Amino acid sequence: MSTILECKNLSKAYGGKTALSHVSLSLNGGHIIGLLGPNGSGKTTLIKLINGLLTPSEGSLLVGGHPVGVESKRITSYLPDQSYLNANLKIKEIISYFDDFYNDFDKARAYDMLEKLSIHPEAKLKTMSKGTKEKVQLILVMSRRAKLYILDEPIAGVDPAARDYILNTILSNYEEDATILISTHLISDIENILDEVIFIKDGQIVLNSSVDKIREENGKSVDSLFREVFKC
Amino acid sequence: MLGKLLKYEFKDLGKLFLPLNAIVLAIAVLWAATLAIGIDGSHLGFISTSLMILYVFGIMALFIITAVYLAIRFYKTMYGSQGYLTHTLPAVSSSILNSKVIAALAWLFLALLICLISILILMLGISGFPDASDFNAFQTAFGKAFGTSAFGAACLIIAVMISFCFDMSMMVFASLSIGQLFSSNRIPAAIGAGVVCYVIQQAISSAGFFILGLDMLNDLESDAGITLAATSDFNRYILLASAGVMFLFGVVYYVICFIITKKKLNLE
Repeated sequence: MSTILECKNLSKAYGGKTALSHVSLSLNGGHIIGLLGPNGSGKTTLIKLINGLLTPSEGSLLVGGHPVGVESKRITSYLPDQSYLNANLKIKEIISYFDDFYNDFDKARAYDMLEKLSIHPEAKLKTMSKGTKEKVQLILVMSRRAKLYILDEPIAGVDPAARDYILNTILSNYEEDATILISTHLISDIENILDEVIFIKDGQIVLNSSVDKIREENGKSVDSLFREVFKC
Repeated sequence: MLGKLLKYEFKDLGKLFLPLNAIVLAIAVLWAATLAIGIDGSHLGFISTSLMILYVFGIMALFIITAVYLAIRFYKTMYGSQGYLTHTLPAVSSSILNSKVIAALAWLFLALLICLISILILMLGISGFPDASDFNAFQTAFGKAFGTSAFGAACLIIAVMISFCFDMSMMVFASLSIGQLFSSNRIPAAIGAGVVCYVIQQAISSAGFFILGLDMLNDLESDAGITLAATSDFNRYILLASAGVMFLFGVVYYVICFIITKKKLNLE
């Protein structure tokens, strides 16, 4: 299995505060990986570095063998933890935008998912509820045939029914040889779909293991281990 | 990729700017029409006065809205929430920045052009279409004022307009880019950066023009009094120097924006 993401000695400091400290990590293709940690642990900082939204203070980062840049962005589909689309646009205009810029965008898949959710492509994003906006963003991200999907808190702030929809959408739409990196602190909701987990605490990786190994070696679920590791 | 980025820049900005420019032009045409049919003193005089006030406010609004909206949109799409999409597009930083700069230049230039065209329309409304001899006389006088042909003088003025648009838009973009380097109070930091850029530019260009002015005064003194040729040369040099200085500062601001976008992006 080829390496899709490789970080070496990656650090990021904001002012005097270190958000990420000497992280070294290697992720293989074809896995669903949970990036787990409490709020402020450095999950979003790591994700932003992978997507080129922040510049590292130290270390190197390769996505699909490419340094962060045009080539890495071509193969990475990113869902931020906030609304990032122009709310004045119609859904069909946003779909055209994605279709124009991403060669791997599957327009038919996007329209199909919208139809299943009864979201009208003529509707403007600003007229939609927060939950529907999040679903639209997820549809756009999962309609790409990317090699690496990075989903930052995709199920935070939505009701349990919407969580099920989001997880189903992720599972039924990603490319089988692709890797999904999901950041969350809601472990129990996503534990069943994960192949591997990365625990991150105070900007450092404290565990990088397969879910099966955790269950075998510790005799407990990922959720239980998380509560133990991050006990306040 | 630059073509695609430009397409969406023009499309988004055009939604506000096209109607805005069209409204100002329409007001100028209507006002010129009321002037042309000579309605002063009649019941239509009130309409003409109202149109004059509307035109003045329209021109002011055109420049203020264009400048403010360009700054807001640059900030939102580069360093605000929409920056998450902008900077994860498979496009090089220079293409992203160039699309913003070219679009801003084009819309600012259009606003200036609409202002000039509306003034010409109003002049036509007041004095009607000039006959061929008047027009030729105007052309000659216009060219002579800058010691060149009418076409050369027009090119010179257009160069000044483009340099002004480039300088102003890049100063604002550079200030916003400097502001995003701060972890908090980014807008006040951007305003502060803008003030510093403006003061530095004014100090350097004033010093430059002072030296250039002294040099030209020496030239004038060596002539037998102030001749038309000498003042024409002075006008031409001043315009050329202004265009050059503004363009150079625009380039400096562009480099600042480029370095920050490429090396110091900080979407916390």
